[in-house]
Amino acid sequence: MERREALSKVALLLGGTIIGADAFANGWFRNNTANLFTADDQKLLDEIGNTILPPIPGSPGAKSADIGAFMIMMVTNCYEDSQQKIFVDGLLKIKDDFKAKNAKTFLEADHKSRLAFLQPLDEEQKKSAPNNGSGGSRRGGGNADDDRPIHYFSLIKQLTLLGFFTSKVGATEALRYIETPGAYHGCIPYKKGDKAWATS
Amino acid sequence: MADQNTFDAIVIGSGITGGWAAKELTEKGLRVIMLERGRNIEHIKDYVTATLNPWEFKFRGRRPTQSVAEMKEVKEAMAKETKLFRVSSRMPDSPYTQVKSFLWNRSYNVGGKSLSWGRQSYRFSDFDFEANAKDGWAVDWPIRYKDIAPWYDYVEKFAGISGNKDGLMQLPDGQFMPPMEMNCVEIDMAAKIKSHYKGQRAMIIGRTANITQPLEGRTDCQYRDKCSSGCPFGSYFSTQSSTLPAAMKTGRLTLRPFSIVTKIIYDKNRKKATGVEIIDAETNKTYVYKSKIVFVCASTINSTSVLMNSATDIWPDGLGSSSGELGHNLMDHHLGIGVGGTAEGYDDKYFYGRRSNGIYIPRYRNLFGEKRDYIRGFGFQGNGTREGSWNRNIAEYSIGETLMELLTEPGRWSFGMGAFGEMLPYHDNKISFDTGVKDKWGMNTLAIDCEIKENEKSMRKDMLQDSIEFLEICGLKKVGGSDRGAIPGNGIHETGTARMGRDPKTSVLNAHNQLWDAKNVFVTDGASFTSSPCQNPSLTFMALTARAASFAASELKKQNI
Repeated sequence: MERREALSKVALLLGGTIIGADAFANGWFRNNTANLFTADDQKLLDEIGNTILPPIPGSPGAKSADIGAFMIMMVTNCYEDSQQKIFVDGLLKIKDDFKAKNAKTFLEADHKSRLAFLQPLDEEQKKSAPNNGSGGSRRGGGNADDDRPIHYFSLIKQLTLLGFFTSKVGATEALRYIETPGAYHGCIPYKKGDKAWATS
Repeated sequence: MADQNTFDAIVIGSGITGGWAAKELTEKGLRVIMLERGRNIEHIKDYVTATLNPWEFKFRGRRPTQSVAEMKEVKEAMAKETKLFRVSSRMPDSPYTQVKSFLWNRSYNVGGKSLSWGRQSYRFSDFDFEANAKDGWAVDWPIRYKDIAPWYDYVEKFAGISGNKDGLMQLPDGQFMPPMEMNCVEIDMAAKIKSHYKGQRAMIIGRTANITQPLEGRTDCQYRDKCSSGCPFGSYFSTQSSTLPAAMKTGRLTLRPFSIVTKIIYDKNRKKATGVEIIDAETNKTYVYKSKIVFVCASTINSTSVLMNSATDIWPDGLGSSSGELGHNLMDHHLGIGVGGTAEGYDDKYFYGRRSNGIYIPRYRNLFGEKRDYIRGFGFQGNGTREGSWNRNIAEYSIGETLMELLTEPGRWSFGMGAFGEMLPYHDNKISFDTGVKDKWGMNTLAIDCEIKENEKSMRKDMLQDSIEFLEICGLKKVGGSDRGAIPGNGIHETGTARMGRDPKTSVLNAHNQLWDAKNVFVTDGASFTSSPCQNPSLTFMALTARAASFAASELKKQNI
């Protein structure tokens, strides 16, 4: 069904692709040896991820899926240089701006003040490029018809969602996952609160 | 016993068509060698990603960018990360020239594209077989539905096709296993379409080569929707799951991977092929295999390419070119038109399982007396679904607890579909060796010169308008359709270039897929098509092959070939 899905679903579901997804298809090959992140960066990304997707009753937060390590791995392996720069600079900006504004570091702060700080960034990224939350450009910015650079928070948010909901804890605890369903029922009752399938 | 390089039959190619040829010929008592240019893939054992969970893919289905030379490890990870059986138009060892944009998607391995195909399986009808004659276009198919119907029955039973008997003249019913279920949205849409168009148009459950009842050595579909990784249950038809085990069971099949056929060897005195010459893709050594008959099943473009490389001392344009039609009349289905919308009122409904199948809207244009400003028609394939957890449009939600809550519950129901349009055979849509470029093994490479023309362009207007109309009359919201353009080859339904016909002066093959210029050579894949009905073609490859194999075996017995 893959090619058929591309036909029928692509226009209405994602609204675009995740940064890095086109890398191979477009023949990008990069020479990547730089160590882009520190151990503290990983902790910071864990907490940013956990602010975007915090634990709620019935679901653990993104940190439980080692979201920081996942983001670092993806940025290191799957991003173009220009995208890496946007991501790394953005992370530094979050660190500095948060401290300047809150007189303590992001890591020291509580969830409420972290959320209060990141929510405006989320609004900013939504305005920054059409198809936000999607990306997928060849130039590391916006969609193919848009020259504006993609917002660093779009990248962080995308990777958090991708990494968490495809992780074991995300797929099996935050969502429902059955490896071998054994049957298809096209029309069954649903009541509010039932978890979504991890794969559909 | 003859020497080890001599067989009763040679089958070139191991995909859907080659697998069927090997099965049928061995079961009729012939000793067969099946030649495949790519590597071997063993059923189940080589489906290395088939049972992995999403989190066991390091890059979660995305692709890393590292330098291949520097990061061999990553390259290997990458191969495992993405689709296992690549169907790709990018093959550095086997380049081709696009005179006009053409995506030549290939899959060079045992099983060919049977491992990765879409599995939709539809019969052609007499609307299709009679079309060229009635429209006065190109040449007439030399067969009619009654000639192939028993062979559809035969291959459907063995391959295992699930579907519903819908009673549509333009899409004849077959020997089906129980159909898969439609979901809530699809059920309601099908009912609305039926009543709105007063039965003139229909939305039906896809007829698919996924079995819904067990067959020998195969388990019924487990609804994992991971067909493209290879099915450890053997639930979908492939060479590996179905025809290859049957052929092997006879003890009369030899399978030889890494065998690139350079030419069919033709004896001009006997006016027959005597065998084929191959290059071993790994060692570059040349071998000759001899046989009484040759089945060319290398996929449309490659089958014709093999013929074009053969007997050039007699016919400069190759074996089978005496009509001047070899390499011409290349077709594909034109795609690129899609529509989507959301369905409201189903918040209390969900689904269970992952169905690797969708709905089908069979052709309705230019049938039953209707005449548009173009000839032929198109069908639609698509599906309804309830949007999953996280990979839906997230722009509307802010971050934090609310986002987590929303994304752990399913989203909206939506529906999307895409059109598959028939493309007419045009003499100037062609393949040739005009490139002067050789591939890694010193073989001629192809120039592909193919485009859609006025009839298709005119049809595309209906394809787009109708697609939107369907969703609107079904009451869907946020309906959006678009024509992203058609690049031939993108349908991966390429057909033609060695067409069947009634007259050796205007066709390459006769009604039995037998080469007019060499009676012991049969071409039974898409190359043989005289037109390209909008239904998916693979089931017809199977039926034509089984029919031709039966004919060939019987002719051989009678010593007619």
